[in-house]
Amino acid sequence: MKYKSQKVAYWFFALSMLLLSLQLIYGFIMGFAHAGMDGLHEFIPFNTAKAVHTNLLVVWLLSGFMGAAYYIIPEEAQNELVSVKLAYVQLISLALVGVAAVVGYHFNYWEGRKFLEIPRPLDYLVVVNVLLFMGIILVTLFKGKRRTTTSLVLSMGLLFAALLYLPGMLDFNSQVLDSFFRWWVVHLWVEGVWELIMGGILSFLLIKLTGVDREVIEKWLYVIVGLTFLSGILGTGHHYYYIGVNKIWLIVGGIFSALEPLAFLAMALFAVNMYRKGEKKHPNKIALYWTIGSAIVSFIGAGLLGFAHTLPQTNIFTHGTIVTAMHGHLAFWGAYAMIVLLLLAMLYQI
Amino acid sequence: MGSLRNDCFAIISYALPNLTGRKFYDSSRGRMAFWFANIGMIGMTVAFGVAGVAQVYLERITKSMSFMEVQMEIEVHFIVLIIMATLFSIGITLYIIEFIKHGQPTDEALEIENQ
Repeated sequence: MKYKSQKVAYWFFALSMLLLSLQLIYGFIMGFAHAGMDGLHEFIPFNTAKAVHTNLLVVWLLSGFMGAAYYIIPEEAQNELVSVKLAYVQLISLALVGVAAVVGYHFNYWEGRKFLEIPRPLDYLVVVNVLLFMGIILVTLFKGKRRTTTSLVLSMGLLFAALLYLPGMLDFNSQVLDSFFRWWVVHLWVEGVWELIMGGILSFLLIKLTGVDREVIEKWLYVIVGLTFLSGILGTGHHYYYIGVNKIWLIVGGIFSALEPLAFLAMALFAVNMYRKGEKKHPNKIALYWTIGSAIVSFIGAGLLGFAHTLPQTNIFTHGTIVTAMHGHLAFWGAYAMIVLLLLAMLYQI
Repeated sequence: MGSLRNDCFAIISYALPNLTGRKFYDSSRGRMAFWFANIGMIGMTVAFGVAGVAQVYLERITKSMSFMEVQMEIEVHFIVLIIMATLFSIGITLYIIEFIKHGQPTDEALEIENQ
């Protein structure tokens, strides 16, 4: 920690860990329900548990990313956060909106749209919250002494993530159109801009962990950004195979989603190479475990399993089955959960 | 300059836990958290995979059963899933214990690092 205001990050991480624990509990409820022991059905039916489980995942990861930004941006920009008070306001409002949404799901207050179940009035609160967050981060960055590639990629990822929330709020009478734009949020987050956030965090940590020159590490970052956008944007097509849009998406989605593992492969090679190259032996071994673990598991879970699941020939059979859950669990764990855990391991010497 | 600063960070981040009496680097709990969580999640993935492929064949390829019949048929794989999820949760619990034990960052840490 170099700047006082970086302390605010701790509370975002604490919130993140709390929500992660809750997510596990709802996961167990569903696991038992699937195994035929659905005793809680009266109070927490499967659809509620599933909405809570997936939404909590998104919120704890976002909370972790926000904490990461509050920690990394001051250090990279060499500037205290412009307002610590507003950062705490943002933290508390984020927690309140999250709790309101999760409680609401238990009383059937939700929109039945997979992953974006949060009801519309709360959507607007999320927007205000994220605007506040982006304001603090961007003003800190542009008032800072320097703008590094790492900090720009990280804040670009966060900004695009914020903007891409909006297509999910459009109102349509058609199920097809609604699905079409809903995937802009879900897919372009996880397989697009979140990878930029992941790359930004990873390069910040690898500079610290390995002592390899910033120039070398940031060059890799450009490659990853390029590959992510090349494959990720049109890769959205793999959600459009059978939702009722034009058949051209079978080809476009098939080709570009087959390219998606490249970004993860680059990320894995990047982490392993920098680790080999590093002359410095950083004493925080566990942070290195998480780095290498994340790089490898995200390549297997998101890259290979994703590739296997999104080929049109297999996806015609596997979409919407437990195969999706298989891919989803290992992908999110490797690509995003482990990145947040890695960051905490590094910052708080776990 | 960059590498010099990084060297300082390495020394400090090595020294700080020692200075404050917090020797958390490479703790066995931290390592156990990593391995439990990862083995648990990979095991869960295998359980999901087996259940998923069975579901795909029964429900969509041979079309021999209805959705709910298939769900009953694959219940046993979720027992495996729950066992693996328990391993995973042990890992996460250990991790969160480490996180809580480290405590909040203090201004002391700040001063030492700025020297």
